[in-house]
Amino acid sequence: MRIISRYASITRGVCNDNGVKTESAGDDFPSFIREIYSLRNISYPKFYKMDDLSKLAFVTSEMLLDGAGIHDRYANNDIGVILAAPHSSLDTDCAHHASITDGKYAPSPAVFVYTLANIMAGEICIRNGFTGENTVFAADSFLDDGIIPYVDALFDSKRIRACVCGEVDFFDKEYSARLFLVEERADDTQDVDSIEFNTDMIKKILY
Amino acid sequence: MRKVYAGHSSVITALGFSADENYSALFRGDCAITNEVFHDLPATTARIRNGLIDDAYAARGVSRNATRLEKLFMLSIADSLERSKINTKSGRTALVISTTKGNVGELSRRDDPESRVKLQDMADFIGRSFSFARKPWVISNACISGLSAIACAKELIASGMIDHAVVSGGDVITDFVLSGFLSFRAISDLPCAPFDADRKGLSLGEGCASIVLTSDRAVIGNEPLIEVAGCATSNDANHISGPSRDGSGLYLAVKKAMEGADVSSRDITSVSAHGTGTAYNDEMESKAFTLASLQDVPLYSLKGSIGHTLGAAGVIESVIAVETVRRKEIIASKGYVKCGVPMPLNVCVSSGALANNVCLKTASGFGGCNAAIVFAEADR
Amino acid sequence: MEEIIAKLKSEIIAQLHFEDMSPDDIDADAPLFGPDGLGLDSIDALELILILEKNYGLKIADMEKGKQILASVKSMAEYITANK
Repeated sequence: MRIISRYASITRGVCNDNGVKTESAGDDFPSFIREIYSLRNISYPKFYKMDDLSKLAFVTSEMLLDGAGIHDRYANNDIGVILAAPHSSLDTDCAHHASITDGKYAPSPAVFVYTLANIMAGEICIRNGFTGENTVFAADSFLDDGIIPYVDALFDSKRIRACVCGEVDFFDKEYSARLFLVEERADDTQDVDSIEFNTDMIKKILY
Repeated sequence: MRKVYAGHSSVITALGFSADENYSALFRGDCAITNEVFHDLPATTARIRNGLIDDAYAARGVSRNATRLEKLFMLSIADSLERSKINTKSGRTALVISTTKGNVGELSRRDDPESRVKLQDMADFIGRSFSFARKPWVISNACISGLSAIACAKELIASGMIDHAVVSGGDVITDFVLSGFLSFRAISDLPCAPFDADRKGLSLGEGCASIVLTSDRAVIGNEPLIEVAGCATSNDANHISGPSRDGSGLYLAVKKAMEGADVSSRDITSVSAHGTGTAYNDEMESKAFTLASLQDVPLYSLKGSIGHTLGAAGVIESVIAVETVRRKEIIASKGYVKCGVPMPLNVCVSSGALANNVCLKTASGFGGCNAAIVFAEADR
Repeated sequence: MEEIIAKLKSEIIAQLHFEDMSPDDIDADAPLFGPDGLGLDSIDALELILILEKNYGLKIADMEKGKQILASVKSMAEYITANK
């Protein structure tokens, strides 16, 4: 059976680490995300180069995977990353747009590289060594038509055996990240508390 | 698992406004790439003349206000729908849109709801124009978007969730994208030359292509039938803009796609590579194809003729690849003169007949992503 | 020269987002690229070229020549001094 073994979210100052919620004082995003980064003792210098969308995705994925022991159970090429990005990279798009229209023409490659919705998935793959299936949908929600069935199809065809799923959104100072880890477990290894991977359960734990 | 077939394609690039027109031009070795100067920097692009888009759009008698990219999508999808005659209102058909930047050219007026800078808004607008009952799916995954979109549609037709899909990939050249690639010093000042020793970078292209995927042979009609036999994506897990130096990520996608298609490297008769003309990408691909034992298979890239069309590339190039299998031909890799990659490949230098029944199409992109699809003659 | 080196160090830290670092952590003679140095990547190289362009008005057209100029903070400072 396909189960959601872990989940994590960061939305409007609230962190949800597998059901344990903590709230922040309500600072602006840059301070807030840096606070979580420090509190969790993450040491990853590339974090500072990321745009806000990738920082959000990265830190949420750290919460999700910390202690999950995913590498004990699966090879890197069996782990997928399938995400939805409702506003795609629009936030950073505006920054790049400003750099070429507001007065002097001064595009920066470090900004431009983040003007793609899938870079955040790439950051998660680089950090964890995941080389399996990866797709980013610019959908309004991970629950939108086609996405969950696609993840199921990837599991059914055995192209993945575990998958980081969810949606990450950052635009105009509004942000939310909801990630969960899906694993294929043999039927006899699940317990009564196992969360089945389907739309209703995802809504229940993360929305 | 049901088999999935592909057909009724349409292509719009700087080379022409139909799949046939594009195929003939590519086979002939035409090149649509020209020089331009952008903020004092030399660049090479393959732009579609605006007048041609507006004329074609007006000829359809559609008065709806649409952006330049949306017009391309509408023209292309209309073409494919008319020929395949599938019913978009039944709910058994999906519209899958592939694009990297959508209406990013409209960012200056992003507060105007008609700007549709949010990709799903653009997709919904296009979907409504054709009365699709299902909400369109949008894949935005850098340069592999087109292949990812085909892969996604293929899996969900095979599973039985839907019966048909129109997969449409499009992107246009904008100051936004041109300035970005120039900041990477990634753009060549001469038409790009994939795998060539003198290659200096990529040329930017634009366009849109649509392909119909279906489980129903009757929808495709004309023989020979081409199957979307296997597909896979992978990640290099190395760097967000530089490809892996050893090709292992792309190799993984190729291996999985071949396994899914139940073919070995000996069965592959042609390879349509990503081949952008940058130093690193082409080098990486040569290593990946060699790892997959495909170094002797006739190979080509289309980007020397139409440039890198980003979110449209996977679909445009797949349409042409499918066509080469149908016609039993191969297209010369424009711009290639002398081998410039560490692991030599069998780069095709003249178009012609080929016993071509299984084609591998690959793509790689920013974020370390790779994709591979095997198109095979059904009933071979 | 020392002034330019100090200024460059701050500019590098700011432009390349080395937020955990202070100017004292950067050895002006140490290689900027490669495993023995700060471990900068290809995007960092382009950003360093932007520093030279934006802050010092020096354009580098040739990336091969650029690699030598960007070898270390010191070589960058020397290039700036030589082309003032």
